[in-house]
Amino acid sequence: MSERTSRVVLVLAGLGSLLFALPIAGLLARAPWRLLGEVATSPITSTALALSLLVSLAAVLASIVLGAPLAWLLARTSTPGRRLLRALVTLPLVLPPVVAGVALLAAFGRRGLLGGALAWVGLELPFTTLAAVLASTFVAAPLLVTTLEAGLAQTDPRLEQVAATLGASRLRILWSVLLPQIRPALLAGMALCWARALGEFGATITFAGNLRGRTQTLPLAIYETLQTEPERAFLLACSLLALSVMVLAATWRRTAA
Amino acid sequence: MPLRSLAALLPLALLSGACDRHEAREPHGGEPRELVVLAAASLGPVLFELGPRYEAHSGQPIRLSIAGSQTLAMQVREGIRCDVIATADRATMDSLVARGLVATPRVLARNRLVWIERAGLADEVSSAVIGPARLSSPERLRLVLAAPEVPAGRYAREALARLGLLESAHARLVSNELDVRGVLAKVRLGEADAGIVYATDLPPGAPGVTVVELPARAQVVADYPIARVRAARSPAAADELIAWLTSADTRAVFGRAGFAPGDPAPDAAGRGADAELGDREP
Repeated sequence: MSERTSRVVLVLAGLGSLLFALPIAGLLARAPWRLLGEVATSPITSTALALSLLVSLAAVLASIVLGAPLAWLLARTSTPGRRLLRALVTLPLVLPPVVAGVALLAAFGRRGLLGGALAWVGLELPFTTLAAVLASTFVAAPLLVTTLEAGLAQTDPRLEQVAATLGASRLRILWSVLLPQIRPALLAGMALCWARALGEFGATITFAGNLRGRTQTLPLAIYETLQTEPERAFLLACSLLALSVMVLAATWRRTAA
Repeated sequence: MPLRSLAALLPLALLSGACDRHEAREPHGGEPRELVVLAAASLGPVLFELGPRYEAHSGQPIRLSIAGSQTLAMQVREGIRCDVIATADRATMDSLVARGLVATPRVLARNRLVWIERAGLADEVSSAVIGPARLSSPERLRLVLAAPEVPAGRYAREALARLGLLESAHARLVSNELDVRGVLAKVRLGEADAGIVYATDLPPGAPGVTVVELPARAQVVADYPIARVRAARSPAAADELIAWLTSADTRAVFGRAGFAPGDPAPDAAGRGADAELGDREP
């Protein structure tokens, strides 16, 4: 790399880091820290925070249960239509979240494709906490699937075959052979998935609505607070930021180890 | 390849930034500067119709930015470049007046609230009542309102309180939508059963919903104030636009959209003063 190119790279990289650092610095600078105690203990914060944790953790769990088998299918098999499946799984990543919400309504709403069937079993999704979980899962699971698929692609299936010839059960192979190999990818995928689920806004407001204690997650509470008390919204945003950083930092250390 | 095409875009982006600055330095160029108008969501359709008409009438280009009133107010507080703001309530505008961010507002138009329910609801439930009276019947009802922070939500709660139905409304509330359009969308899609919106939010014969007028005693009149932003870069052009919008010329368009007229426009006086000033200039 020539002297000149490296300088260009440095300048662009510097600009790039500013793009990410400045909004965060602005948020921290504008937050009225003297109100911290008051905002942290207010019912709107604690209710939204608790709901956000519940919804995002449930979304991560659902993403593992439904997404891990998908990742395995994509990485390990040559199922026909695999490319189409991969495109389908990554679609929510490029879909604007509001469109995701509308699509969820079209599928699981009262008038949606499955609305009748769901009503028949007594389930009505829109405006429920379950709908918020579904919205978060829809937008966040692809991050887990793609990360896990990349991790799985680097493992050697022969190790599992050897374990099988040695008489290990399928569960034992999964736990003692496969899992240790994909642990970093799984943790990274879970972290990204959780952080994305924590920040979900558009699909949630569209599909699940906004009601305190039921569907008002932290991002929705931030937006609502922004309407009346923008200063408090800055503080709430900082709390969401801190939470996301903690999630990412915790798993980053584990995956690096 | 994609990286290279992105790199090719970069100088373009820098160039457009430079152009913008150039324009800022020379406000009296050939073309009159674009007037930026921030307007509440419910005013959108009317202003999109009136905008081009004003451009043709005065030669002054206009750019409309439509959002919820609170968002608009926040944009003004944050110093976004704009010339005129029209909100869906007095309280939001008053907060800007109190901070000295806008000139004295004038009422552009007035609106009223209506109860809407999804088509087919009447056939599904047994009770004979329709409209807000449903709230006092034991039947299940999924009600959506605009959030209490939004003008439409505040008005709706005031109307329900006047009818003595606020408590039962809260018990049936499934969502606080972030703007009044969200309320309409959820009822039209049939996901919610009923809601309260502005009369002007409904296109004539809107499919999917039944409209029920609120009793007169519950009617809350919503004023739409409009004002020049103090930091406007074209204050005179902003005042002219406001005078035109509140003049008799536009009344028919507002009326067709379901708005009642605002304050009788002191346009003759305002224009007279402008003309006088203009005459005195060499």
